[in-house]
Formats: sequence, C-alpha cells, structure tokens
Amino acid sequence: MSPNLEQIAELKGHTDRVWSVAWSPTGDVLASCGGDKTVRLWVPTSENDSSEWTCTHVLEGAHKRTIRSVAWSLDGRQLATASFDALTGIWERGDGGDYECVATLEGHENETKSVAWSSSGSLLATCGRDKSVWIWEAAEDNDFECLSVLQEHTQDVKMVIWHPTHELLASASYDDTIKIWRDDDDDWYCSDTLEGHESTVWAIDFDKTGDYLVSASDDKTIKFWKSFPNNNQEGMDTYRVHPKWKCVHTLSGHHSRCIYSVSWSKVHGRVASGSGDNVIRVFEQDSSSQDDINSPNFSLVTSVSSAHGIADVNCIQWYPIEKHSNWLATAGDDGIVRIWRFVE
Amino acid sequence: MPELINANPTIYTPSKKSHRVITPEEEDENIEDKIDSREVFDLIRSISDPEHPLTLEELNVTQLEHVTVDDNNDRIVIEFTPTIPHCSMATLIGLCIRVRLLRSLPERFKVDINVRKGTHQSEQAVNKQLNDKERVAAALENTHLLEVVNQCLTTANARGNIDK
Repeated sequence: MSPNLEQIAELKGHTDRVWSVAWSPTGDVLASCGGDKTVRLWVPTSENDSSEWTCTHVLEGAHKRTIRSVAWSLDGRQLATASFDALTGIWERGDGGDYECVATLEGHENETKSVAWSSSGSLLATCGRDKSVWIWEAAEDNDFECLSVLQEHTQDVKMVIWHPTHELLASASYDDTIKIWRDDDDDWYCSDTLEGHESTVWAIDFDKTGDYLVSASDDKTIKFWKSFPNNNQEGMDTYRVHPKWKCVHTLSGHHSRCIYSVSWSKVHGRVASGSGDNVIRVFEQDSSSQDDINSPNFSLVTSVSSAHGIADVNCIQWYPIEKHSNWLATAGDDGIVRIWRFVE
Repeated sequence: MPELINANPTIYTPSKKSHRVITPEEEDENIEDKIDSREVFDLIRSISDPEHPLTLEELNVTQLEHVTVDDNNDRIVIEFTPTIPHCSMATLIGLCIRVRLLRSLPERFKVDINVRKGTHQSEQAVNKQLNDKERVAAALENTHLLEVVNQCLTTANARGNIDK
C-alpha cells in the first residue's frame, strides 16, 4: 500500500477561521489561534485514544483583534501571541493552572503577524505589516527589552523563524524575498537576501540541521535553499565571511493556489504543505539524492484534497518529537483544527 | 470637501440586455441552478462608487464581460476597470467587490479580483493587496474602513434596478 494520510481527530471550538497551530516542545499540547481572538489549548482526552481531544484552556481577553500566530517557549512554560492589534502577548501558566497574559510587547505600528522564540530561549522575534522585524531579549520578571528593529524588507513581513540551534533568524515577506539575520555582539544585521520567489513568501522552515530552509509562496511553488559556507568548494561568491544561501530545488505544479504553510519534520525529514486550494501534501527526499547534499530532490508521496472541506488550509505542523512524529496538525478557514497520521 | 480624484467621470447607461431574465428552468425548484457570470455581475453591479452617487456599472468599472465563473471548479475571476489610471480608490473599490461576494456567494468559491490589465498605473500592487487574504482580513477589522465599505454596499441589493 502506498503512503497516505488518515485523519485522527477534528478539534472544534474556534468561532472563526483558524490561522495557526503550534505543538508544545514536548508535543503534549497543541495550541491554536485565529480570527476569534483566542488561543485554544488541546490535549488528547486519554493517553491511549488520540481520536478524542479536549480543549483544556481558552486564552482570551488580551488581544482586541485576530491572533495571527502563536509560539511556545523552549521550556513550554510560556506562549507568545502575535495579533493584528499590533501587540505581542506573553502568556504564562500560573499556579492555579490557568494561563495569564503576563506581558504585552508594544512596538509594531500595526498588524503583528508572526512570533518565534530562539533555540536558546532567551530571544524573541516578531514581524508585521510595518515591514519591520524586531528582536527582543527576555529579562527577569517577564520584562522584554527590544534589542533591534530591522527594517530592510520593503513590504509586509509575513513570518519569522529561528535556526534550530544558532541565533540566526529568517524572515519571509510580501516583497517576495527571505532575509537571513545574524548578530555581531548584539548588533543585528541582514547577512543574506534569498531571491527567487515570484510572489509573497508566506512560510519558511528549517530542516533539523539548519543548513537547509524550505519556503512556500503565493507563486504556488515550494523552494529549498542551502547554506553554502565560506571558502566552499562549490566556488559560490560569499558576502564577507557569511554563508551564502542558494536555491537548490523547486517544487511546482503541486498546488493551484497560494501555499500558506510549510513544515519540515525535524524527526524524519518529510516536508508538508497546506494551501488555498484546500489540499495538503507530503513530500519526501528521493533516496537517490540522499548522497548529493547540494541538490536534494523531493517528490510527492501523498496528499489530501479538501482537507478542510471547501476551506483554505492556513497552517500545517509536524509533531515535534519521535513519539508521534507521523502526526500532522492543520488549521483551516473552516474554524477547525485537524490531526492527521502519516501512514507508510 | 476634499478634491475628487476624478471630478467628471464618464457615465454609462446600463445596457438592457444585462438585466437578468428569469427562465422557466430557473423557476423550477427541481433543477439546480448553476451560478453564472450574470448572477455574480448582478451582485456587484449596483455597488456605489466611493466618491460619486453612481454605481460601478454606471461608471463602467464593472462589466458583465469581465466576470468569469467556473461553477464546477468553484472559481470566480473578476476584473474591474478604474475610471482613471491613477485612481487612488481602486483598492477600496476592489475591497467592496470582495466583501460583497464574501457575504453573498457560497463559501466554496475562490475569488480572484484584479484590475483589468493596463487600466491602472499600480495594477500589480493593487492586485496583490486585493488577493492577499491576510491583508483583507486585517482591513475588515478596521471599523472605519468597514463603515466606508458598508456605505458603498448599501445600494448593492438593487442588482441593476436603480430608479433615477
């Protein structure tokens, strides 16, 4: 039998479109957020049965507009939310078990679209329609200090994501580019601009090594990028001493409308995409290209049409660790969160 | 009163043939009616222009020939023509069309709204914004903007039957 995706569960509760889902670092809890201005936390109702899920918490009240994205801190104790109300919320689980908004970060002029914690847990990045990317440092007592405001994108910044191990940030934009940001003694700057997409880049994800990046765009393609180190044998031009990113593979013809989300499993390396054509797809690296690190080739292994019925798929996320690494969570314009199992 | 973007627009008389004629098949409850371009055009033709007491049809901003409906594949493409190539209202007009269709059509339809090729100096920028659903969602959470859109949509139900 060929690989396929089977739906395990439907999580209903949001009263508007769901924009984003995020697994806690241990995979125990799934957070979802959307147009109803809430974050919902979900867990399987029992350890052995993953078909029933319970909404354990509804985080609300802090944002006056859509919550566009949600991110867990490394230790799973805190959640950060990016909202169209221009604020970034920091939520913490109190002794009583309820989540409280313990800080709101002000700075963006209008819609905040994405938020991400660095792998060390000490830095937070946000981005928004004001074309800027902000780097924040967590201090004591839930105080966040802005380290840098990066303004090199020429349009709306859709998403930020940190390298899996280094303090290196990637941002995706309505200006059709991806930018790589790094710091030199707390001085943050753009070290590379990845050009190649022909429309808005909606989503990006690193592979587990951080040497590769995958991107999804309104141009209906998925691109794979590789970081070529300085003094590389391939003879690529490099800027100063920084690695230079180059597109090494493009997947096209798989989606007929904008691709809103892409997720690269840190466990098994498969890539999943979700699109405005209602389809979710899973791609796998060809075994024949495994040895050629400079040109990985990915092929479609399975898809689900109408994954959220007639609705767009806004977000797709692989389960983060080995335990249920074949699970995928998706969020749709139908207001539903779905859990899928990839079966080989 | 602020200066109008286009103070003297050309006014067109709606052509009679675009008025919908109800066929016996359409009256028959047992026959499923496909959504066609005339039906979609009827939904948007009487939207008011943001700066004139005229409808989009009267200004030739929307035309039946520029509405494409693929009912089987749930796709609709609308092209509209700003009255002048530097019309700063183009994005707002497109947003009005989008909201009207969001509220009136079955949810299964995926709608693309574009300025007709060569009719606006910022064609690409306008199109990109109108078809970015995140930007549209954010715009509709802006109460002031939503009021302006709702104002333009108050006449939309006339579907071409406006008495002058």
